[in-house]
Amino acid sequence: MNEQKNDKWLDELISRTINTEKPEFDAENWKQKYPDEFQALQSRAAKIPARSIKWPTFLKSPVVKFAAAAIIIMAIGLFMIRPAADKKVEIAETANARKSSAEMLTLRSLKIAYLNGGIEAVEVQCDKAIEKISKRPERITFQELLEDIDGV
Amino acid sequence: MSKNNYKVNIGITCIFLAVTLSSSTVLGFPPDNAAVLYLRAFIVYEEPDNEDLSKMITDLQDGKIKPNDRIRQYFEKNRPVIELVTTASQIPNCDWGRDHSKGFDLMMPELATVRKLAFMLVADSKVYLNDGDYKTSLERCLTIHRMARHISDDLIISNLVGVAMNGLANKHIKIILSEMPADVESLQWLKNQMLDVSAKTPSLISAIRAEAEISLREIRKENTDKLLGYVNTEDIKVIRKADTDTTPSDGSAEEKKKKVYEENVEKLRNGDEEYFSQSRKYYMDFITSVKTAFALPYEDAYRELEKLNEKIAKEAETNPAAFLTSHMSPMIAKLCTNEMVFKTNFNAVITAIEIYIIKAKTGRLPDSLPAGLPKDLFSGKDFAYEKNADGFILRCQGKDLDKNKIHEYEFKVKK
Repeated sequence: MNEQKNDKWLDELISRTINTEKPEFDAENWKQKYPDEFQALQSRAAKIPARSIKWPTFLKSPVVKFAAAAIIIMAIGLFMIRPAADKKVEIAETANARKSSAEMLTLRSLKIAYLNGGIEAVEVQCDKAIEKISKRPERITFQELLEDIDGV
Repeated sequence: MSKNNYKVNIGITCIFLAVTLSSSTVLGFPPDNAAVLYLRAFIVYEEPDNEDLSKMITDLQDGKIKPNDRIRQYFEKNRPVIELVTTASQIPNCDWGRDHSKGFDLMMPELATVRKLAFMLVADSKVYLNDGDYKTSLERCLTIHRMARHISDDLIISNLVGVAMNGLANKHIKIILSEMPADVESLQWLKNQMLDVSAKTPSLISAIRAEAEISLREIRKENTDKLLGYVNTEDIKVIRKADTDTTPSDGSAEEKKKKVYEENVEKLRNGDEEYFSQSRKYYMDFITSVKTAFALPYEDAYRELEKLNEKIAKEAETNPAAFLTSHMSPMIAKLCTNEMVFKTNFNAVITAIEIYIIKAKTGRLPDSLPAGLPKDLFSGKDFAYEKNADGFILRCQGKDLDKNKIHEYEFKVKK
C-alpha cells in the first residue's frame, strides 16, 4: 500500500462517513479566470525551495493511520450528530436574526417561540429583542447627522 | 343685590372648581396609568457601560459576588429609574395601549423591557441584602411581583412572562428569608404584602378568554392572507422541520401528514363564508371546553385538556373546520400545569412565612403545620411539612403531570 493509495482510502472513508460529494477543483478554468493570481502564485512557488517532509517511521504504520482516521471520523460524527434541541435553537435563532425587534415581540412570534420551547424560549426571544434594541450608535455628532442627510 | 351676590358666588365657585380640576390634571402625580411611568423609566434607564460591569451585575444577581464600588455607582446612577418603577408598580391601573385589532401582529415590546427592569431590581435587592437592609431588599422583590401583575393581565404570552417574573421574585424572597434575622414585624408585613399581591394576580383563564376574542376576530374570510401566513410562515416551517428532525420518520405517515396539511391549506385559501363560520364555531366550542376543564381539580383538568388537544389534532385530518383551531390552540394542558406551578409556589412561600413567624415568636420551628394555611394546588391538600438540619421542606402531595414530578420547596433558617 503506497502513500497515495492510503490517502485515497482515507478520503473515501471520510467521504462515506459524512456522505458528501467530493468537490472538484477545475485548475484550467481557475487559471483563465484569475491570470494575475496565477502568476503571483507561480512566482512565489519558484522562490520557495521544495522540501520533503520526513515523518517519523511510527506514523507510517497502518495502525496509527487507522487510529488517526477513527479520530477524524469521530470528531466529524460528534460535530454532525448534535442534539436536535441545539438544531432547533439554531434554526430559530437564524430566523430571529432576520427579524426586527418589533417583529420578534409580536404576539404571533412569541406564540411560536412558546410552541418551540416553552416559556424559556419566550424569555430567550425577549432577551434577543432587547439586545437588538440596545445596539444603537453610542454617539453621533451633529456634523455626521448633516452629512448623512446630505448623502440621501 | 342678593341676586347679584348669588351670581358672583356661582362664578367664584366655577372658577375655583376649574382651577382645582385643571391643576390636579396638570400636577397630578402619580398618573393613573402605570405604563406612563414604566415608559419614563425605560427612557432614562442606563445600561452597564461595559461587559465587565454587565458580568459583575449578573454575578451579583446569581449570588456569586458581593456588591463592589462600581456596582454601587451603577445603581446610584439608576436610582431615579428604580424610584419610577417602584411608584409605577403601586398604581392599580396599567394600560400599555396594546392594539388588539392587529390580531396576532399585536406588538408587546414592554414584555422585554419590563423583564430587564426586573433583573435590575433583583441585583439592587442583593445590594440591600448585603447591607443588612432586609425590608428594602424584600420591597424590591415585591415590586417585581407588582410589575408582573401589570404585564400579565391580558394575553396568554404576557401571562406566562408575568408568571416567570413572579417565580424570579419568589426565588429571591426565599434567599432573603433564609438570611434575615427573626423579626415578627417584618415577616408579618411581608406576609400581608404577599397575600395582597397574590390576590391581585390575573388568572390564566381570563387571558385565554381575551386571546380567544382576538382569534375569533382573525378567523374571517377577509383575513385569509393573514391566516395563510399564520399557518404557513417560515417560522412554522421551521417548527415542522425541527419536529421531524427529532422524531424517527415513518415515510408514509409523514407523507400522509404533509398531504393532509396541504389539502387543509388549500381549503383555507379557497374558504367561503361557510368555511370560516364553521371554523369559528369549532374554535368557540374548543374554548368552551377549555373553560369547563379549567374549573376542575388539577388532575382532572390536565387529563381533560390533553384529551381535547389529541381530539383536535385527530379531527384536523378529516374535518377542515378543526384546522385553524389546531394551529391556534396553544399547548393548553401544559399551560394549566404552568399556572398550578406558579400558584402553588406562591402558596408555599406564604406558608413558609407563617412558619418563619412561628419560629420568630417561639424560637423554634413548629412540629406540624398550623391549620388554615394555603394549599398545594396539585392535590388540593396541605403541603407535607418536614424539618431538616438547615430548616424545613414543604412538599406537594400531588404530581405535576406535565413533568411527572412532585414539587418541593426548601427553606433555610438562619442559625
